[in-house]
Amino acid sequence: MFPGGPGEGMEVIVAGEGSLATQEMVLNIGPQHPSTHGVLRVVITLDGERITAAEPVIGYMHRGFEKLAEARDYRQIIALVNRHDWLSAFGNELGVALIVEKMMGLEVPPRAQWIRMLMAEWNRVLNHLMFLGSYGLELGAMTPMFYAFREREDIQELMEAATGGRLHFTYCRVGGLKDDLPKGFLAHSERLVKLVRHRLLDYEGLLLGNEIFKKRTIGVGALPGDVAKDYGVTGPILQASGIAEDSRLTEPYLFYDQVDFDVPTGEKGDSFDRFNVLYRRIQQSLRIIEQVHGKIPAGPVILPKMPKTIKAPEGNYYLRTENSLGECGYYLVSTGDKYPWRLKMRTPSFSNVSMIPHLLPGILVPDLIAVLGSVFFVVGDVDR
Amino acid sequence: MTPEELVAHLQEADASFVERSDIQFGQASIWVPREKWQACAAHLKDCGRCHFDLFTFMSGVDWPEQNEIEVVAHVYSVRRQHHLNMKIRVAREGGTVPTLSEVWRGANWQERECWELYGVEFEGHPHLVKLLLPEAFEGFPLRKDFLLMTREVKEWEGREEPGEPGSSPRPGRVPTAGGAATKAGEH
Repeated sequence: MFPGGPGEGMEVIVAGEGSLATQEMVLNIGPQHPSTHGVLRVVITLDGERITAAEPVIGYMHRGFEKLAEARDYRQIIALVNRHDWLSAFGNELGVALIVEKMMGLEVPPRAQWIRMLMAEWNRVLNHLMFLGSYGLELGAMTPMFYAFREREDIQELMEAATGGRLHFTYCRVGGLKDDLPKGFLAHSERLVKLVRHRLLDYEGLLLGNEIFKKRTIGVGALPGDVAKDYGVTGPILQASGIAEDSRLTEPYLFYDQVDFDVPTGEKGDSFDRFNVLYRRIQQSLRIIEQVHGKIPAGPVILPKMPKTIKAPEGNYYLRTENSLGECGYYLVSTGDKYPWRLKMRTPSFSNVSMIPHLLPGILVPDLIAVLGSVFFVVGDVDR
Repeated sequence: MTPEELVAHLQEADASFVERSDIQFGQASIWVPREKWQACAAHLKDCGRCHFDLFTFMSGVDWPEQNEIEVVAHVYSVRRQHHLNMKIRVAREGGTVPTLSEVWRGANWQERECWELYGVEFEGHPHLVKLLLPEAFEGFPLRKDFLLMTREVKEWEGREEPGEPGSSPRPGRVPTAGGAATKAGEH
């Protein structure tokens, strides 16, 4: 006795005429979603499968760094700023050292500056590899993550040899560096550049040339360049939208004006472009590292006569550096004391995430992670 | 434009834009009167010579001695490659600043952050609610009279910083009774 014979089966009555009335649905993503690299919550409003509004809810990792910095001296602040963007710790501390040196008018020994560049670029590679691996993971490909961590481990070992840290390096000092490089560091670094460059080809095959990856990312979540600038978006996200803005190039600090490198840009600013720019930025960083190897002069790595307590002179200044994820700047207001009166941390992830309410509406739920993951951010960097 | 040219250009464009200006370490700052705050911002963005298209950040600086809070907006021009600090001073109590979120969209979050940390109201802001802090948080943590939590528990033997001990009305405690009133407790 089965239903489905002639004249049987379920009878469906469509009530009313015209189109079906639908209801908006509010969906909560996070704060523990793996694609958020920390704890970011996004409340999205859906009309069927389509996102109509998105509101990131941030602050779960707000640690009050800016307040704490007002009660710490500059030596301590260098250790403190290591922690907001934990994936580019060296880039963060570099900014603080540079701004205090700029205000005090210090001439840092060239050897220290070149080593800083070397470290900053290795840190950038370290950071980008993380996102290279995790973005694949978010789209369902697990292998790139393992590959990325293989390279990351090697680079961390290298940086540990010089700094003693694997995540928080605290290698910079106002006026130079904590220590000189250990023996054999540059040879190791040279070998590693070759190794990483060779292994990068794996990612090209695994992700950039992957049909599934392309289908999921090309044309998804496009961001026009002028909107990006309006929101203060910087770094690989801005470059993917076709704007070659990179303070290493436009306002060179350290000795970036003495090395050759390109700023890769995208065309459409979609998820694929963002990922592609990130990938090509690694290649450029490796190119810079190779040039730095031959240019590090002999000499001291820190100014010989640094005062015990460092006091930035009275005044205010904003200094920006191109950190891994974008423009990391510090706005320092000093009253001439050993503590800053105000240290505003302008972090790239904050501005980049503030653009999400613009980026998500209009896309489908299955594309959500492909877009959210391609706005490379670190939640510690958003919340500070 | 060099910082000097930039300030001169703005004074030329509208003399009332620039109340006061200075150049420190090669970076220009202008203080804008309240009624010209939005007009000046619009000019900075639209004028072909200024072309400030990248909204970098906005924040505050507390000056308790003058009983004022200085709101700073830093803008940068990708095409012209120059920087400018746009500043405005408001009273610590009841100070308001017209919103810039219609000029640069990035100002939306920056103003929300400045509002919750300094207590400066942004007039005409579309969605002025807490951003980083929990809903029920009281006080404005980046003001100098708001003590660090550790200093509240135990007085600092060295310098009383920020704010003198005893001057703080013990602000900033999140009510924890019933486990409510934190962001994590919302859902």
